[in-house]
Amino acid sequence: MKNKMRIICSVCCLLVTLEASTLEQDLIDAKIQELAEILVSEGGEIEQLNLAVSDQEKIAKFNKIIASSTTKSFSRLCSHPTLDSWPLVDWEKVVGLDNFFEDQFLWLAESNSIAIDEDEMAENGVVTWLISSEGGAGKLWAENWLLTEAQDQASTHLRLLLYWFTENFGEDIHLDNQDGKVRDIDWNKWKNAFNNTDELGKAIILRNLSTLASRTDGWEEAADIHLSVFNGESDELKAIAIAKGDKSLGAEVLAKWQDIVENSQNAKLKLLAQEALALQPEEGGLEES
Amino acid sequence: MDLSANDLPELLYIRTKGVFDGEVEGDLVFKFKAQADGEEIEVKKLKLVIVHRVGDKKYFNAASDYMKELNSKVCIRYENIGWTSRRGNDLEAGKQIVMMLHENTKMKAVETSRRAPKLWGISQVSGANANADVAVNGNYCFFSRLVRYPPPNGMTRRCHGVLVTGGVKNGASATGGNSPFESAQADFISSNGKGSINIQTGIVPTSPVIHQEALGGFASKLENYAWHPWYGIGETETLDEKVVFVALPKSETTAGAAAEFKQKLKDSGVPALPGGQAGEIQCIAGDGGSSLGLAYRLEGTPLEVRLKGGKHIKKRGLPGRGSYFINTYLIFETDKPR
Repeated sequence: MKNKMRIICSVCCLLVTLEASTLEQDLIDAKIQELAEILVSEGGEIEQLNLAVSDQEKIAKFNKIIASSTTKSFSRLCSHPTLDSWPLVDWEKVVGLDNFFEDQFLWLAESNSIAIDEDEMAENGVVTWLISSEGGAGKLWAENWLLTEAQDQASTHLRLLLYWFTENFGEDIHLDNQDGKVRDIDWNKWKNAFNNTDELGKAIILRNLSTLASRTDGWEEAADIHLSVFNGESDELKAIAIAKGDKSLGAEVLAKWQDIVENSQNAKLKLLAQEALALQPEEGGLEES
Repeated sequence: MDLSANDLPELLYIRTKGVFDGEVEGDLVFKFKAQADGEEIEVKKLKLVIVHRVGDKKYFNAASDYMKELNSKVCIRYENIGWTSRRGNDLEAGKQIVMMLHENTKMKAVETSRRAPKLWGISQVSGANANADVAVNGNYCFFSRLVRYPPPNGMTRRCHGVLVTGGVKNGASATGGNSPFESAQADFISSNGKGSINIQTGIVPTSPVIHQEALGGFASKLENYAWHPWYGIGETETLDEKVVFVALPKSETTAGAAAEFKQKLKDSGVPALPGGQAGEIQCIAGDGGSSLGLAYRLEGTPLEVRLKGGKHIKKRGLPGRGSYFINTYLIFETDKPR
């Protein structure tokens, strides 16, 4: 089902009608729910994934699910996006730190640019839900999968979906142990992946780095990656880094934000840095109650 | 102060020389001198304790005194806890602590997915419990045994541990699974009405149910739960009183200072955890990060959301981002001291 959005402009008594296709969000959500229930049903593909023992086996099953008939949109999707069509950061949509990524990507939900209909959009949704769900648990196999995909420069379409729709890897990494201890993170693996990939891959890593750092006392290692961004030339990556930044990244990173405020020629980037720096921890004290 | 010319003021302010840092306990002595060169006569001596921050021995005394003095339901403090990172950087982690008088407070466990209509996030939980004074997110929630997250913008429907409300075990409760939060090493909070809130290690009893309200599946190794909500009970040093508190990080990514904060709470009078292991205190951790949700009311104002992580916010129709809503909360109702 498609809705037609009509924008009516009146110019010198000439009525011009523009049309843009939109997708029905409620229908997409219902279809995602439907597909998800099939996947998580008893004997379904998620159960098979959970039964896999080795990390290699898990990755193989995971890739199979992603490419399976249930989520067959990938083959069709490949005809749609190209990296050139969508910049990492659309500066016209940058209005501040709040909802930075939502403002960037809202068009994905509001148009049929990456899906021909609600079915296909729902299939995209299921794929990225699965990736987010497994990523949120922060297992080693999922970490290896994510970093491998981030470096696979031939896999543009999947990587675009990863960039648009996934973040916060390792959000629930602590849930394996009641004592709250988390597994050791090999940060060199993240740094190497970051250094060995293109801007799209770096953007994926930046979006998934911060939460893992916060969960594993890894802000200082994350800061090394952020510093390499700020020592580089890409304003887009700098914007993403600031949007996913945190003052816990430390004084060196904050100095880079300050440097942007004072010296950047990019007004939107400067705005982001200003807002990030303004998010000071509140003073201690009593709230009158 | 020349008392011959003025009435005794209702408030006295004490100014310190230099930066005041730490707890001071002593006597505040009022003296009278009729003439400049006359003899000083002591007219009044008051016990005076100045409490500065969490970690001070009489922190909970001060909170209790504050609520009673001002006839306030809650005492809210913002505390910055210093800590040193692995690379030796000196950092601070912000915490907000909401305290209530134990004797005046009761707790309720809230499940949001198995009701009609569902309650989506801390805002709707607050709206549906307008009489509550404090609302906070609860234990660890999940979608199904096979996949932790619900589909985008969906809601979890299970929780690790037992949820009892109205004296009945809720269907969201998950026990006997592989999750360590369903084990006997997990912890629970319970309430059987005003003045009965308790926190202890173990599984919430269900055969039979003995609590009116309870939520289990919490963690007590606080050192590893920096970005989580903490729920605890503090004891006052000299008075037979207790303070119930919830303490949350300032944001969903605030990390660090967990061990330091725990030690300060212990120093301030949070006792040993009943049934817990050596070193554990009567303070437990729930689900943190983007699950963080906190609402409380200041005197004369409606219940207001103060902290809302990503799992309390609908994501404007973006599919597949892994964003979803959680389904367990704790709410507290407390009475004014008088």
